[in-house]
Amino acid sequence: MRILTTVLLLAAALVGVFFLLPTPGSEGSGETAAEPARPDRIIAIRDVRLFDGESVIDSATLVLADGRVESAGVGVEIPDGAEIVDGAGRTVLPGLVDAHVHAFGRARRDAVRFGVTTMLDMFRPPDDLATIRAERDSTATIDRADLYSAGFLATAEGGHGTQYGIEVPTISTPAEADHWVAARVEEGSDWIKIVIENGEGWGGDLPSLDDATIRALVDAAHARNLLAVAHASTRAEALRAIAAGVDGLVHAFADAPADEAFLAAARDSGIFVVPTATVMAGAFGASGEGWLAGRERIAGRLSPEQRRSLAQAFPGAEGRTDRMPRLLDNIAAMHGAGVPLLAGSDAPNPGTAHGASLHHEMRLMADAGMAPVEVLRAATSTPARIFALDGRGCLQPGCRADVVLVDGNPLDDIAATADIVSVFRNGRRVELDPDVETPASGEVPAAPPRDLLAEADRWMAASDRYQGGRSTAVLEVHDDAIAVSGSLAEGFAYPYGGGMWSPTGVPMVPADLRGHDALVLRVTGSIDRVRLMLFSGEDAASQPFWIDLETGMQHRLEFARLAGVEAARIGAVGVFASDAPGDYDFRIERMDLE
Amino acid sequence: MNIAIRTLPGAWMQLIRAQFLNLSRTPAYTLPTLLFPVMFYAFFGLLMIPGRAQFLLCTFATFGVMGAALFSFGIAIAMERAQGWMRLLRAAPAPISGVVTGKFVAAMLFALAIVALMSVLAAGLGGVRLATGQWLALAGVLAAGTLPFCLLGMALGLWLSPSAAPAVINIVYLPLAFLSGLWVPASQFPAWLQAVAEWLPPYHLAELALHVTGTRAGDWVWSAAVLAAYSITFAAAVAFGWRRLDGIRK
Repeated sequence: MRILTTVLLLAAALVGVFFLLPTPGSEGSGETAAEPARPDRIIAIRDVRLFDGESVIDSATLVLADGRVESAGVGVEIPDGAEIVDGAGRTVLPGLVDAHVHAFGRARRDAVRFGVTTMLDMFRPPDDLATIRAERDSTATIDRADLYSAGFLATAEGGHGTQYGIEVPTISTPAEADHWVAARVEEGSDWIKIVIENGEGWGGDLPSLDDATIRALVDAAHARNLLAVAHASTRAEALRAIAAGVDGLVHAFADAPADEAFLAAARDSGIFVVPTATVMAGAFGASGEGWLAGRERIAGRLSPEQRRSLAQAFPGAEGRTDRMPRLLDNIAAMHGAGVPLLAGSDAPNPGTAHGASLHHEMRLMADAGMAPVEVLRAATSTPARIFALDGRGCLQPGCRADVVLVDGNPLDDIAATADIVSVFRNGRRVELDPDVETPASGEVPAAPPRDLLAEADRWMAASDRYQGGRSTAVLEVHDDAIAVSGSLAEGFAYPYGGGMWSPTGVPMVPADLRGHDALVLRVTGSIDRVRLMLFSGEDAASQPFWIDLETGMQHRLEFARLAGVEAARIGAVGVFASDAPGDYDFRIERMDLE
Repeated sequence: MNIAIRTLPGAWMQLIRAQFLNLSRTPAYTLPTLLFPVMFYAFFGLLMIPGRAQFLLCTFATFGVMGAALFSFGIAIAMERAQGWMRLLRAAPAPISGVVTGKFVAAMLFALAIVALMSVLAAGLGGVRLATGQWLALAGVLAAGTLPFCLLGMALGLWLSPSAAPAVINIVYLPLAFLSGLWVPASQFPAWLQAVAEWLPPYHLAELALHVTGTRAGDWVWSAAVLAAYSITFAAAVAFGWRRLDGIRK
């Protein structure tokens, strides 16, 4: 019977493994860099201008202990053994709240370096909401912003929100609403987000939810004491949302003026609005980077991911520049009518970056005519009140020790919020430099030029099929060129098909190409331009850098000039057709690394 | 082999014991069966598609336990039948239930090992964190969920010749896994293919795994009912296959 005993022991050992696996509260493993706050750790910021979320106290002292604000005000006693921080000429603010983000990958670490300590996520897969909830209940040391999330969004099949390659449970009839909302509650959603978007404002045509379904979703959310917020990008859709009883809108609109009829509806219904002027500015052709000019201190803290998303632009943005003034007018009108406004960036959409863009948002709100103190409330106490973020957006005793210390006085000039000296998260100072590990440091010797067309085994055909689209691509290697043909089909947000070269031969397994300065490319074919995509960085499969290049001529792209491309970690280089649906064929006649 | 058949329970235990002796003596079968799905998860669930480690843990673990069940039953039974072992057992006063139970326990043990290995990878490399109860529920659901696949494997093993069994089981196993959305979520399929997925047993086992880990709320009653219905159907196929054994063919 020895073998049976062995089997029983084996089974018991295997079951034992599951008891040892990490749980949301457990600490210490690499990714969850959290350790219990040491109770003896006390920080006192002295002689500082203190904005407590509502109003300002000059020459105040702020004491942080055990991950909480211990005391705040004038004449506060500093406990023995406290680390003293000089606040003269500086202003201390509650950790900022970005009320509209989509937090993937490094987002929470990138945000906290820019003083955003709490993020309200308006759509992400709910895989790890249990972990996220445990983290925000804790005051343990952590290097990331806390997150609240809507989880999945409510949208029609094929509607806005389904184009990102993320599996979204869609909804089509009012009868499904209660079950849909119940499923979100079970997954851990903190509120319900509803998409009302027929694409009209963007020159498109998208399936969208009908009024009865929207109302049923709102009712199901309210029945469970959850807020229901809506994505609406036109005046008509915003009015539909209000009529359905939503609590707030997570974008402003700029297709039409916010007229008296709209303002009356907004005021009477008591809704709030997250204007997300930053992402709108990106969609209306205004740069996401310009405001950083002259702010080298924070510009130097951007991670490659942040630089990459800031440098991107929405397709067709140049044709909508006329809407920018109206957007600011509408924000001013809503503010004037007493509609509560919340600062939110919609990062990481093109033209935005986690954390950094909230400072851009605050500047745009000030540009629209809001007083600096009102803008600061919009990024602290207002979202805390509306979303019931306990202990956040405030600096009274008992509030969380999430604190931003800035040079100067943002109550005079809102731009000073970006002059960050220190960020404290749960009472601990956050490292402000992006902690991007580079595989090798120091000088890299120049590598000899490399003819990529000669590396036949490192090429593969690639298309949007990989992400659920229906485009096709066939790749043939010839002696003097690589020929690609196929067809682009509707069915994916941005259909593409073409060829991809991987430096290691395995797509997205990166190689260090810093020995090369530039990529030289020449393509001819049936299409006017090809889209070059460079996948690089820690998570090489995330948003690639891309640029459209004319066919029939030679291009030389210097790595140093491509925003956000990490030559130290290139996962793949793709050359794609991405124009109108239909057949395409092109020949890559030259592709060299120099 | 020295099998002393004294009493019926004794014989039963001996037959179970023989199963494990067989497995422990054929590491060339045991190790690949364990490591193949785990490797698959490491490549695709963690490296190729970062950020969805938890969702893919549930679906790839379903894929793994289903494979272990289908292969340990299907191929082994087809071979043992061809060798005349089954008929010998039937002729002898040996309880055939011992053979089947032994295989079922072995398949559950395989399932447990696969889920444990994948969970360690998911926690270590994918940053997945679950409550201890959820980890145990995942293991429990997937171990119990091998039942319909054990029965399917056994039915195929009883109907197929030993040379056909590996090929046919692969052609059942891999498309079933793909069509059930175990590699690519079913929601990425065109609508007609999604409708197909919702009628396949692995889809429902994955739904249960996703449900108990809190990854995605599902209709667990319906999924459990579908799996039960399939188990009954496959058990019926096993019963018919069993009758065929009587001298009709090897």
